[in-house]
Amino acid sequence: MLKQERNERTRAYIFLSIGLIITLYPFVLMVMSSFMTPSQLLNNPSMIIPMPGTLSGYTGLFKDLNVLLLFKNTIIIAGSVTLLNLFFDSLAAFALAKLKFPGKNALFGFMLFTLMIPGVLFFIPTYTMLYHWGWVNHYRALIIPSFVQFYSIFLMKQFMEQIPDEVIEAARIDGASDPVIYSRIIVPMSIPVMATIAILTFMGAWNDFFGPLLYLRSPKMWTVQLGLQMFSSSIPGQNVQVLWAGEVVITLPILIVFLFLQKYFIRAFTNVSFK
Amino acid sequence: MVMKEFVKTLKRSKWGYIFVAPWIVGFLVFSAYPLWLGIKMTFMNYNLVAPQSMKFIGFQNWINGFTDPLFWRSLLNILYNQAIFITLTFFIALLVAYLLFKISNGNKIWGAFFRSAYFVPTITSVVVVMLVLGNITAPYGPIQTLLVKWHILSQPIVWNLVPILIMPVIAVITSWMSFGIQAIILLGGMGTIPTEFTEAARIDGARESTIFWRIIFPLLRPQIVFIMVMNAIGGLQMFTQVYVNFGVTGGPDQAGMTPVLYIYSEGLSKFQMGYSSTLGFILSILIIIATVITLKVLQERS
Amino acid sequence: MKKNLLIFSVVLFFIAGSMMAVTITVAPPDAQSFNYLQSVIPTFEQQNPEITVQVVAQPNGSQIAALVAAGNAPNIFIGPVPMNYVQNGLLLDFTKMSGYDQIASELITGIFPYNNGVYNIPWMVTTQVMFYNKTIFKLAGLNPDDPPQTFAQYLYDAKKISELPPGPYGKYYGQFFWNEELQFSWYWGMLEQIYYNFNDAKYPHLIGQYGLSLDFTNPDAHFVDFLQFCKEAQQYSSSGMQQASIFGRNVGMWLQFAYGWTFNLQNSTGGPMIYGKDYGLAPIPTNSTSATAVHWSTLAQRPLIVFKATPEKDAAAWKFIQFLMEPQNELQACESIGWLPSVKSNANNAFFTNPDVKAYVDQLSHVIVTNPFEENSAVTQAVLNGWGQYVVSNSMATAEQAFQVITKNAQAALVSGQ
Repeated sequence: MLKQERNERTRAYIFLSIGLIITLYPFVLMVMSSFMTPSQLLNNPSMIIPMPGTLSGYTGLFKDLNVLLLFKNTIIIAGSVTLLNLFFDSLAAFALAKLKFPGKNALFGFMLFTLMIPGVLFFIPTYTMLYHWGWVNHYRALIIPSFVQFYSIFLMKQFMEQIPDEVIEAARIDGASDPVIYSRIIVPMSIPVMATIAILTFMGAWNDFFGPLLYLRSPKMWTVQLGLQMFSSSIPGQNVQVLWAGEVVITLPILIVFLFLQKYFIRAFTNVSFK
Repeated sequence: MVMKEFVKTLKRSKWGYIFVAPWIVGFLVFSAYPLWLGIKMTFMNYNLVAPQSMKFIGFQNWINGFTDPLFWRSLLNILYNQAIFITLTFFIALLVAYLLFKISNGNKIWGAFFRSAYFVPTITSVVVVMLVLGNITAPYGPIQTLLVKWHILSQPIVWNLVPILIMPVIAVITSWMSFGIQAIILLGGMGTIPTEFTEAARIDGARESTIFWRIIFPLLRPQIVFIMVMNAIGGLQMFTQVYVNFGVTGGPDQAGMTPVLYIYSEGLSKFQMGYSSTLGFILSILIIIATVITLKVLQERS
Repeated sequence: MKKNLLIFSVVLFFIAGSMMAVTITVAPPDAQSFNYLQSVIPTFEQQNPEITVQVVAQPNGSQIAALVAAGNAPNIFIGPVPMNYVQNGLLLDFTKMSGYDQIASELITGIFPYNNGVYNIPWMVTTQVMFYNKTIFKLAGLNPDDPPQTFAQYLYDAKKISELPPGPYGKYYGQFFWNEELQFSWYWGMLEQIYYNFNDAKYPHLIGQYGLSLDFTNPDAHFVDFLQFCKEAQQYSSSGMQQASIFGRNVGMWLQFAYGWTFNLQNSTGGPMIYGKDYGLAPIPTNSTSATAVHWSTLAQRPLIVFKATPEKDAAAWKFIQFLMEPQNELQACESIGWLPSVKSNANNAFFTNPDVKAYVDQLSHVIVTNPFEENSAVTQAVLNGWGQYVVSNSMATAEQAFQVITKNAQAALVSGQ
């Protein structure tokens, strides 16, 4: 290891640590605010370095907000969306990446185009449709319409194209059918990208606020984002430490999962490109 | 004979079709059908809450859309915002990716820690980000307080009220949220560069910046193309940040109005669904144009 | 015998059918009203077994449109909705319901009518008074029992307070404007009371009655004086609630819909603030020096409105509204949610004769009932922007200049029909 390289590495560590301040400061603010008393939150001038003082934000979450129920609902929805996407998106991605069938490229190009249409156009016709099917106030209204997502298929396809054709050919010669190739070869070799899609999909469903607002009427079905929003008072100041605590608690699960899966993330995003 | 070949091809492709079938069905039901309704609506005068008064008006919506000064104003706004956002985010992401790359040969735990830490802004929901960063950038917030103390500002500025400041500040906030994911993408790209290239240059005595700009950067082309195209597609559709901050009015002088916010307000506040749909399709056309231009420009020099 | 039984059961079936269960939804705006409704619904359902009431999340302004389009809007919505909904005939006209006259006559304030109909019942109401810090008044050599009654006195007091040396809670500010909220058009609701007291409430709307002219441009409305007052008052104000607030004990005076802020009073810096000792309440100043001048304020409300559905649901919704407006229920709501009474018989209730609440209730007799529906946000925004640029950002030299700019922008907004 050349001395020059070691110096460059040390310098990188220094810069990264400084950069952390900017990157994480808002998050640190959020966490510290969740430990402050209402009086401190309301009356503290400029909050450059907030001082924590109480756990009432967190106890309030469990007592007043029933945060466990909210978590359960959100996990059901986000988990289902993620699992469905993992299965159906990987199938489609495999077909696009490795299988031959007429019309494949046209299909891909057309789907790419749909990314460019603002979601707001779909919003009302979809709501009307789901309402007439009686799906309002059921989890399925949030799960089924999202069961496949083109962005995920796209990412998976890019990754799967890296899988060497020889491996697949060898399996075919051995008589394996496409479904078998999928389960025995493609899936095990695509763990990085599947982990990535799992995170991104789960995160998207977890952070979704407008969907639950429209489709989940009864409070027993609310998700964490919705419940937190509905908990806010018309009076600024009341319950504000519970709200901050809530924001922290909502963000933590995703962060922890990402910490464990982040090396897959990087591998999955390698070689994304437009060819 | 041709028929037999055709059938054989179909049979061989059967799994291909089966595997993409769920996606196609989902698309037809949840995307194509609403889209088709949307297209039909562009030729109608359709009041959302009075559907019985729906009436065919031909291309009137399209003409209005192309000549609507507020719509073009909103486009100008988003371009102003994106110009700042894209440049700022890209260079920060590039720098951060490079730094992360430099430490990836070192201690594994620190590597993982820094990579995760820099990704934190991306995981936070947009609503939370606007709330927290709104507080931080407010006149009484930490940033402005420090700026005043250091005499860079003579007095705190309510940036929400100053038309020319709105888009830049929102660009910076969005930048904070997005640089993480761009950095990870670029980092992935850097990981695929064969180490022989950089080693050889180092042995030749090249400086760090030379190695970076002459060797690493050009090899990141696929990742850069991807990022820029996703910027073109997603950035032009910015909505949540301005909605949370200004509601549907778009702020002072409509300086905070983005195209999607305008589409949203026309459809859901003024109930003009036909016009709203038309604007949506016009925007889609513009996004396609922007994407094609981006691809052409970036893939030119091969 | 069998045939009679058959006829009998058929008849019974029809009778039961006509009393078939109806479910209505109600969408409250915040956690307190949510909890209150959950607590009283069982009582209502007991009294009305054929009606089920379900509390739902309140959709935000533009999403109501999606719900209405699908036919799934909440039956009862608590809060303002855009005027569009009234104009498109989507709301229930209460004057057509039996029992309306009784409810209307019970109200302390009036109701805002639209086109000879009434589409909102004031339920959660509040009004604005002036908070002032008695301790600071004493420090500044001002009489703590003599709060300012005219705008001139207000400015004089604010100036004296801001000349005080810093105290245990930091620098003292004479007064406070909540400028953080200037980007939202609802904020005009806070400033308008000041403006109305510049013209004895003769011009209580920005736009004329038929939406064709800008009332505030009339010289008798004294809009320019209002701007000048605000500009000078801003000099004695902090730049945000984080920097200084009444609850931080470093602001002298604050004009606010403050009744619901009890929570903040109890969590003030250095302990709860006590009425009479630490702070006092007074009506908003006026520009008239006459002793009999009326001090005006507006009625801010989260009204009860009903989205029309089927006749059965509308009737059920109206029943629930009547239930909520019964004096003892209304009283309970006020106490648990923290708003002022709308019903006359509650105004004299012991709860509201407490000295720290009485000032608000008394003010209710001098209230202008403004439009509870959100409307013409572009005009309001133009006014607020101009106000902000002149008073806060100092980007216009004189009040007359600001007035010209505001008039021009408001005119443009009015013409564009937003």
